[in-house]
Amino acid sequence: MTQDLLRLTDVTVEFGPPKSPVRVVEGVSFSVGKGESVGLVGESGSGKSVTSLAIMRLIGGRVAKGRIEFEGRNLLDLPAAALPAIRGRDIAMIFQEPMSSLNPLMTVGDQVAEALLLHGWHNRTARRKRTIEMLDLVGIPNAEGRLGAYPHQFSGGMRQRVMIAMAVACEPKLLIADEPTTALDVTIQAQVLDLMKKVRRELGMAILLISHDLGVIADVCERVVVMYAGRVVEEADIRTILTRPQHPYTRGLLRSVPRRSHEAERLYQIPGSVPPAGSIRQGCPFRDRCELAVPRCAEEMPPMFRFGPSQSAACWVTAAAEGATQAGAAA
Amino acid sequence: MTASTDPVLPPLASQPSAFTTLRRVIFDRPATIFALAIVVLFILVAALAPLIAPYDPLAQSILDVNKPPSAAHPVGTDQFGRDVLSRLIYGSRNSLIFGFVSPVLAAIFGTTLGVVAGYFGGIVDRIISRIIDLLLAFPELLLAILIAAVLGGGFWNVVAVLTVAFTPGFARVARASTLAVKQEPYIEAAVAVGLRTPMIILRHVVPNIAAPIVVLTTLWIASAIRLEASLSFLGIGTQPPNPSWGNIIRDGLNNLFGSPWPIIGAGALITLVVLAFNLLGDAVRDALDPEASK
Repeated sequence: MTQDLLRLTDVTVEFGPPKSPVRVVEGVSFSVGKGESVGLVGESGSGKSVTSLAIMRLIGGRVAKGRIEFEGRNLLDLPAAALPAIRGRDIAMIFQEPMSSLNPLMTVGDQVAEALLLHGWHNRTARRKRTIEMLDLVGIPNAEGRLGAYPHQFSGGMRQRVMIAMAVACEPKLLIADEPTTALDVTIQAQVLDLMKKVRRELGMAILLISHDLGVIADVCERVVVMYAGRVVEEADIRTILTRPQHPYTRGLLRSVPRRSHEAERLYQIPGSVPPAGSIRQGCPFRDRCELAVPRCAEEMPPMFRFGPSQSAACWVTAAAEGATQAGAAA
Repeated sequence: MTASTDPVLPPLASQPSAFTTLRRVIFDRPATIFALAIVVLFILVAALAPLIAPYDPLAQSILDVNKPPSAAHPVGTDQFGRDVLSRLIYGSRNSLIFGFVSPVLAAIFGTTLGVVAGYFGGIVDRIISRIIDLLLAFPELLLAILIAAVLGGGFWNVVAVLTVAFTPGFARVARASTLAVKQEPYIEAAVAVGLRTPMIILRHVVPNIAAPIVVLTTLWIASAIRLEASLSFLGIGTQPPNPSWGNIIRDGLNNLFGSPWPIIGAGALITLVVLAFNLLGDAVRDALDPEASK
């Protein structure tokens, strides 16, 4: 992991007035290697979308602290005028709502071509050829004939394919996908996920996939970062997360995935809900919903403990039980 | 999904184009056909005034003072013996020019202000919005009289007056529409793809707020014609002896019992043309926003 494409260090995002800020994301650190696919998982309000928007600097709030380095450059130091050159070409993004993420008044072909034009494809015929190529790659049948079609003539799955074509047209090094399949039905979901894997394989880019659905993440990603209440609580490779989760929150998430073998049982749910952003000032944000909580959890926020070569989690209790050492000393 | 089976997409040909919708909306309703005919006739008459008008609109004739309609003067004559029909025909040119120039200029200025205010928000929005609120607090006619009183009459002054009077309405609509469009994910997607702000506004915001602006422009044309007539009637619009429907009525009022025909003729034309533009505006609205018609 020496070749980090993207590295977030201690990123804190605040909203609201500077005098009484609400911290939505606090001290988030993780990295994405070249060509690696990383999943960012957590329930609604855990700060995963805010984190991804902060990387693109599309955020309404402030990044109060930390560094977001892309190929060694801190994106937070760049002037606003330098951002359009990076967006789309180095880092691209696809969004949650395929139904409304395309301009209803522009043809599909023009929208894909617009992304190309912005990043150096000035020759009209070459651009057109590339547009057809991209639409073909994402599996739009009769791509050439569809160039002049408008978004309302496409179904949700088709629109998400067009979004992906737009995003990957300039072969970005990193594709951030914010819940790309949430608004789609299950069969289309599987197709879009397969498409993302295919595009990644063919274009060799890294993917940061944001989802609340561990199944989706497990399908696409090699490594997982689990977020809760604006903090990273666990990070590990996908196999380890699924077999030996160390943070009680991750365990809860895994237990609440419906399984066919447990059909008769009532589906597990983590009691309570995510605390409102900024309400946790001290201790572990998960302690009120945690089955393992001990008094120390209310007093001190646990640091990340290293549980294995590729796994770390922020929990006092499991760290003590497993004899994990505090991470961070090495980093 | 193979290329041959494509159950999700309807054939492209079955999608009605905007033009088809427009044609359907216009020709499905007799009132719209009537309005369109009046508007076309109005534009033709104004454009061809020198060819159509039977007399010089300024030529006076002592012998023909205050005549009722006759074969020689189909709408009679006024107190100076001028042919009312010719004056009405030439007067339509003023109405046409004012009717189009001011709303179009106001649409351009107002949309620019509104989009800037709506897109950037913050202090820019607050300043522009307060100025708009201030201007909107005055009725258009009052505002027009106020500005005309300061600037005086004359063609460009009246155009300026009407433009200033109409701009706030466009700015308000453009701002509200921009606020709605700005929230759309495709704007965020355009930012994420690396588009710079001016291009986002031109390519993604403006086309998506065009429909209400176009409708408003059509409706304001009727108001502009009415307001130009009002200003001319009050003596601060088109100056006599140049004919305008407003000052024809003004002249006629002093001579109401001598000859009522100038007032009747100009009044009827203003009513007819304003009505026609309003009906057309409604049709355009229905064509651009099919949900509003039901």
